[in-house]
Amino acid sequence: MIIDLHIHTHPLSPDSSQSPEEAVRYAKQIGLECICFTEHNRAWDENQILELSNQLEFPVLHGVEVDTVEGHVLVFGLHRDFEGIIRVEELHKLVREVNGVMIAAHPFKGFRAFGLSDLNLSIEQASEKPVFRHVELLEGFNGRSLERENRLVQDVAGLLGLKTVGGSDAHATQEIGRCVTIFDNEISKEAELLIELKEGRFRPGILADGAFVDR
Amino acid sequence: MILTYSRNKYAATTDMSDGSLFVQTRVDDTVFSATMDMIVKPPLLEIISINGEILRACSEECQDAATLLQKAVGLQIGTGFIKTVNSLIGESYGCPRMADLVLEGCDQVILRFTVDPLRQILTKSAEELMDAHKMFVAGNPRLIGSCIAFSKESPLMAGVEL
Amino acid sequence: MITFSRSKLVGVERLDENTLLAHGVLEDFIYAMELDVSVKQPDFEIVDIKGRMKRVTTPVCDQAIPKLQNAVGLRIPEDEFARKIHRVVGKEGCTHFANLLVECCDAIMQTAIYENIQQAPNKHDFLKEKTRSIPSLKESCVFYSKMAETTMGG
Repeated sequence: MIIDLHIHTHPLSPDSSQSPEEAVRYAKQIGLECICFTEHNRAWDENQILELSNQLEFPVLHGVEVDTVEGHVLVFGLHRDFEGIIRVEELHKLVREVNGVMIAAHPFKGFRAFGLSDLNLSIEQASEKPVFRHVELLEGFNGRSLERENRLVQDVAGLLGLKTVGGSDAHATQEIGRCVTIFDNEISKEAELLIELKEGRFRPGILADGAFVDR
Repeated sequence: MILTYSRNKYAATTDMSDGSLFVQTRVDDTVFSATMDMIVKPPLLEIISINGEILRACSEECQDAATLLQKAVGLQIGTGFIKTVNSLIGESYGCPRMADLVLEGCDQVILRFTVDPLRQILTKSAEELMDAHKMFVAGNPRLIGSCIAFSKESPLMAGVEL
Repeated sequence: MITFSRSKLVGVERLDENTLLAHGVLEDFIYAMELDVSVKQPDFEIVDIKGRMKRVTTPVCDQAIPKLQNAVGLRIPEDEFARKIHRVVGKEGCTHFANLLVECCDAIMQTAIYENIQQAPNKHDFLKEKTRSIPSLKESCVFYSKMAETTMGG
């Protein structure tokens, strides 16, 4: 089952230009089988997500992309808003209590004119990023990161023995599906997503020439 | 006309022999005067030490705000950094002036690493310049749409795969 | 050796009872530019902007000058002001112009707050009164937050 785990929509994510309905329609059109809305520090209302999902006849799940002092973290299973900034270890405590999952989002996303990977960052140095001590998974394929930045995440994941997922981080409709996660089993609700993520029954994928392929 | 208010803000980076950067920011305006020095260590651009002093402010309470700077130790300059610094040091329960000094310094760190590739481009001849810009954008696609020079309509973008 | 430096200089003058004019200069290793920004009180609305680019990196950068007009009509105390400037002047024009414009507007607000404080018989009362006339001040920092609390309490 092909899922885009990392999508932002307006108005819950003010920097996104797409509505939830637009995102779902486009996801269906390109052949995705499920999407996750992960708004910046804002949780979706469970009933609204269900309503949207039923109305458009497409599975939609939700998480939150939380701003932590140590970097952005995708959180699944914990439904609440976050004000200001939180330390990743505090977030970890909250997520543990609900048996949720934390994924380090685009950990090496750099700047406009250069990337962190351009600063002679070795895999060993990169693996020391504090956020990695508190997450179960890494986003090794992020649709808004450069290829060399994603490659560094994959190398770090290899060194740390962590699995990687893919997510588009789409803020505009055409960005949806650029990176995805391909699950071995069907997923129709959050509890199943959490189990599959924890059990590692998935692999990252990308959209290439109109088709989703494993990476 | 006599000025009612003036502000002079200066920030600079110096490369140190161990590869880290020494970053200084100074602001001197009619009301407020402060300094901030920090050491930033590449490649993760971590703030490993920071110190500052408020030399002049509107109230004595503000003088203590320099201690807030210690909250920036250990931070890495990167995605979400502006919000992190503002949340830890500035906003309604902190001192936005000190947060601004940190952010100004971090901006210089980013620009310091931008100046080297730009220098290479700007030494090209007029005929080579457009191609050099296009290659730079192709290697750093986050530049696309970041300003008018790298907008889709810009001549610099002609032929660059979007 | 210094590997990068940036200086920003802003001077604010009062043109008339309701108008402040900021002149800002940015000079760094890469860019050099200037702005003149006029703002009307009491709403702190930007009514006029003129800009000049002196040193830039591409032949297209000059086209950012007309984009400064996108900021005319914006009010400095409004929510997300700096973010709006970075979008309509920065992203659509030049990010360094946006940076300088935000600096100029901040300097204008500081002028509005502290102008005439030297003549005030009681500095604390003077600033307390400012939290009433410039409501956005109340949540601007810990000093004014506390002052606003005591004002409301008293």
